[in-house]
Amino acid sequence: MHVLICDDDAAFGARMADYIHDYFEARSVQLQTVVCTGAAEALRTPYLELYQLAFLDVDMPGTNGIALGRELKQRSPDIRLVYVSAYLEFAPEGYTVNAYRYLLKRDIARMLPKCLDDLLAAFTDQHRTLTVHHNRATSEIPLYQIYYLESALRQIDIYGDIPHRPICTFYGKLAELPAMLYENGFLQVSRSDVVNMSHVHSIRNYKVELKNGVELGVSRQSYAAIRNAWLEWKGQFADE
Amino acid sequence: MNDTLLWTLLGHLVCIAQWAAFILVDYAYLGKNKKVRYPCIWAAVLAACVLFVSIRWDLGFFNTASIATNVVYLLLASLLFGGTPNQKLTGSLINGVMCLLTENTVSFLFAWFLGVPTGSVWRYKSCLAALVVSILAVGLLVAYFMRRWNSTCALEPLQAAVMSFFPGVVVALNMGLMVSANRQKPTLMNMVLTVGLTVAVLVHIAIVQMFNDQVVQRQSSRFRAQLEQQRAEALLDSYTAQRRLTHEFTNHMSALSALLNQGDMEGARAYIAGVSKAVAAGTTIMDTHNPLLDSILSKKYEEAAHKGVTVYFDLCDLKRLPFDSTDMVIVISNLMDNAIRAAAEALPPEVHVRIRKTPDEYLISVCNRVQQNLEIEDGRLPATTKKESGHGMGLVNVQEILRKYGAEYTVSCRDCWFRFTCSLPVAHSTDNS
Repeated sequence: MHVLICDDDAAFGARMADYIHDYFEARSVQLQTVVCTGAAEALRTPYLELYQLAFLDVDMPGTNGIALGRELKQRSPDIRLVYVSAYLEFAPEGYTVNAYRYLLKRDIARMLPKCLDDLLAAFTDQHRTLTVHHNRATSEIPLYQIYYLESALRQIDIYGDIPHRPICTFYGKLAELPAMLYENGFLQVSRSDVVNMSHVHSIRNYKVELKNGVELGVSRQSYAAIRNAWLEWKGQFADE
Repeated sequence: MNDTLLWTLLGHLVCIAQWAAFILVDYAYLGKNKKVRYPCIWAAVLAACVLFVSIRWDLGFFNTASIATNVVYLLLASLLFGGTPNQKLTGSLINGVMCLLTENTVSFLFAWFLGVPTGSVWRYKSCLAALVVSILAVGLLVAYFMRRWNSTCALEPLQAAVMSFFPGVVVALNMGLMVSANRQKPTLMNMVLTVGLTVAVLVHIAIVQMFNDQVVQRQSSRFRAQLEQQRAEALLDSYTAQRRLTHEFTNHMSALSALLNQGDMEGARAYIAGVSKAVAAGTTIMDTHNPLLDSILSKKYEEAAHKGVTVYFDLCDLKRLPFDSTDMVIVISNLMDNAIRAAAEALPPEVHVRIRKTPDEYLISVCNRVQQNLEIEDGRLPATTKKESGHGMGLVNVQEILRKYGAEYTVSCRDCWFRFTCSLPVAHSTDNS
């Protein structure tokens, strides 16, 4: 794993690097850590696109941590950003970096171990796929590519970003879909449709509108429960 | 249609009216049962079964068998609705009292006006029709009051038990009257006593309601005072920190001028950067561009840390959060207090606070660890999180404020995580700001 640490307080950055190194080493995770004291230095780091995790100070001379985070996200979209600062500043444009967590420097000893535990679990969980068996072949479809699944007779069609054109079809029933789907933001909205909440634009008037413009009917009986589930999901994951 | 059939129909119409009133009151007082999906429909089905038994075995009306059947129906029907066993019993008692008082008042009034024994008024169709109308009207009225009572009941169990003593005495007196004057024409005294007792119960209910309102008012005032104190403390903390920084300011100026006099520009820049961080960290621990919210959240963060609870914030620019200051203190303080209190007893003790703004709404999410999963009904907040007396205004106030701002909210509890999520429309904020 590649980890970037950027803090204008070099001693603090070095202490962080030591702690993180010990943590991952104890869990047999190979680690390469780079410590920088400014954004410019961080952006000069070779193979930046390989980095999966960055601990950034928000308030640094020159380019601040939020701008650096945005730049890092552009170079490596899957990078997870943890802001470590003396002061939690939530800038107007702060949401654009979609930080994994904000930690206070003064409480770092208390908060870092748990943060690293959660990060490790998150890295293990990411890139989840749905395994589909069809015509004696098995394919793995990344969950983020799936907009919704629709059941018709004994078949299930998996739809992606192109409206009404299934990316895959297989034999099965919605009731037989793995529980993992529902634990990862999928929601059954009617007898025949399961949607990926990260691609839902709105749920109103008994209809789900997906971000690609597709509209699906919502069960009237479970409408309130479906809206509640979506509201809860938005509260935890939705961004601007 | 012969008289016997008409009598049977009218008699059973009274029973049906009674059962409808019972169902109304039970639903209003006890609410839904988690295991029974449509309690009112099942209660109606049960009523139909009792009706069949009554017709098939000709149980008759206004006799011991019909009273026993009604009591059994009351108890069985209450099982179909929600609430604790005590509440189910109380609901059945309320229905019993309601039924007894209405029947006695109607029968004594009729008997006195017609000059016949009270036991024979049921042979008059007009009396039965009046009873049907009165029982339905009283049922509706009682259901309305029970629903209201459920949402604002602030009496402690002992107070409620003492308050129910008087209706209990009235029921006993009414039964005495009913038995003693069944075969006689009621005297003026009997009639006045019956009506008087019914009126006394109504006055008693009004007094209890006023007392309850006073208790609610007192709790609300105490809650507001606590809130004001919290606000004052948060502001005082900020003010104290500010004074300390102002005091340091002259020292910083001296140091800075010394560095500049020496021509050490790099040193001066580094010094200013250091002071800026110290100033920021010295007042509150965060900046969401909403000073009051920053003060409250910083204070709650410190309180949580003191209790060993870790609070993670993931916020955005909250300058235009559509709450006015008092409402914001009530909502945020209550949610944070409840989350911290519950998390302090759980492992690991964690609270996550996330606020996001989308073009249409602000999304507020407060998640905390709990010792064990709580039972949540329909994604709604419970009226109170504390079992001790004198508490419970907090979440009621949060719900009222959310309703005021047209916010939608849901709560859930899974895998030892309690999650409160709320969506606050942005359009409202534009009007307010």
